[in-house]
Amino acid sequence: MGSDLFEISVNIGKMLGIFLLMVQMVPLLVWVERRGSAFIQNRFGPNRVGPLGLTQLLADAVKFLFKEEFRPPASVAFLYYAAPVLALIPGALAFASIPLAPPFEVTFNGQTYKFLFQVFDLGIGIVFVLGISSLGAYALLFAGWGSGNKYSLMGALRASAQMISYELALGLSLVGILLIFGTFSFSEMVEMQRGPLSFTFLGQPTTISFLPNWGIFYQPLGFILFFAATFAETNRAPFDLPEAEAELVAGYHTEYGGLKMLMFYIGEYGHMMVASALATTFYFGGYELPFGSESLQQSFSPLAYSFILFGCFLTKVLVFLWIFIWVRWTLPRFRYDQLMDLGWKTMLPWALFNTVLTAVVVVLFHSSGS
Amino acid sequence: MAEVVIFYVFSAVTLFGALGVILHPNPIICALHLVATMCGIAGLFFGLNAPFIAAVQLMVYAGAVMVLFLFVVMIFNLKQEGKHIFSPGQFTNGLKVLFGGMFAGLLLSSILFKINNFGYLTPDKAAPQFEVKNIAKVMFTDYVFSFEILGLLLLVIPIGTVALSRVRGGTHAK
Repeated sequence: MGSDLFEISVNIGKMLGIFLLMVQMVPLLVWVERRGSAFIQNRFGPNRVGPLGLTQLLADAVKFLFKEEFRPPASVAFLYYAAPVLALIPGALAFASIPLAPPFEVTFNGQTYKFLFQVFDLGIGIVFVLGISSLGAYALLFAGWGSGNKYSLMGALRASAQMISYELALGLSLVGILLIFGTFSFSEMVEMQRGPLSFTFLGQPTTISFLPNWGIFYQPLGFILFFAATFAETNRAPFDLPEAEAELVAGYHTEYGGLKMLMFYIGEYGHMMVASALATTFYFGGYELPFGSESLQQSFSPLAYSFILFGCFLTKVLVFLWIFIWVRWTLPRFRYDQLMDLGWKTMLPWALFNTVLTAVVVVLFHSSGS
Repeated sequence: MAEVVIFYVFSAVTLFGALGVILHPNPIICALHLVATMCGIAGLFFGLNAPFIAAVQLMVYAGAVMVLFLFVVMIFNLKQEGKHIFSPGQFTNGLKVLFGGMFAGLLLSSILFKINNFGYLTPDKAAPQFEVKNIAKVMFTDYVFSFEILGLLLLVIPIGTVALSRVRGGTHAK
């Protein structure tokens, strides 16, 4: 936590701030989702309450809070109430371990403190996030089985099968990134993606000055596989079979209403944010600016520089979040056997191929920690 | 101090989960207790400064294996009113207690043997040998043969599963 009161209080503030950042993004994302879907489908969307319909979210929140508290008689009380809470935990924990900006130093009362721009740094970033996010299936299983409803149970079964299937492709698509960077730690990865694209090609150090040194240029196939698999892991369309409303009413959250329903929403958007943040960190340079970070670093104080890079990170994440929303309102849902075929017969072999290809390339070029 | 708190909290979670697995009559609730046990063990690894093993424990056991268990149990729709482990008035209860006691004795003696010969594992002692790079180095140099053999064994399992399910007409059987 820290050695004295100042450090401890800053760390606690940071912890709260990052959690609230995740939670507070949700109403904005809901607004973007509703307005964006309306834009895509040539409708208006919510535009009556407040400017551009922005205060619609406030009205919705009040509505959610004042709904009647209800539990179906056939449900299992503990599981029914635990599921919405559990839906929040993996996303929040995973998001807390991702570096949002470089660490900064603050001098207070004559002492210098160094703070990370993340809640904790375990040094095993990827494995921790994969481990935590694999627990996300339990929220759906708890909800599905705890509701005592056949549709919910069907949704939960679909969710568990789908998440296990796509976790394989997700994990394997990240092996390429591990081989290239040679580390599990997010901050080390981001450090390596600073500056222009440079690598050792057949023993010759090569630099391409007009491209940033981002993971996407080393792992284009890995990125496509990773991003497709995250859609399945977050249960977003076109992979939203656990809650396919045309077939299963609303899947695992059929029996939920009011604030409990809202918590599932927050969990889903939280997973989206984690997925976007991971894609940014692995493939798009994390918080690093594509160009000109040296001159910026010299002309601003370290704290201001950290916040500028935080803005850079947030911009990249928002772009990915928009892609999530864009895809949801563009592509239709898969059929269940198509979903399984895609996961096992297309993405898994391609992810294996990507792993082998990356290993061969790393050995051939033998760029010492490119 | 922090390690002691972590140890007792996660030990309590592990023991509570393990007891729930064998004492609860409902198979699905049992499986959920097993998930709690797995998470508790992962927490104990965290307390031992072995975050990599903890995360792998979460990913493999809590994340993949137990989700599959639950999936299978839910699909088979077992009766909600299962049997209690000690259903009264049965001769086999004696055997259950006997074999359970033998197994517990085996576990306890191996734990005691470990403590007597190697001492307790403390976080500072455990840290260097649980670091990712050291694990990888040992796994891919000293134990590479057994590692590959294990990989082959795991490969045999999915191939066998696919072969067996193909005999019955595959996943898309009419």
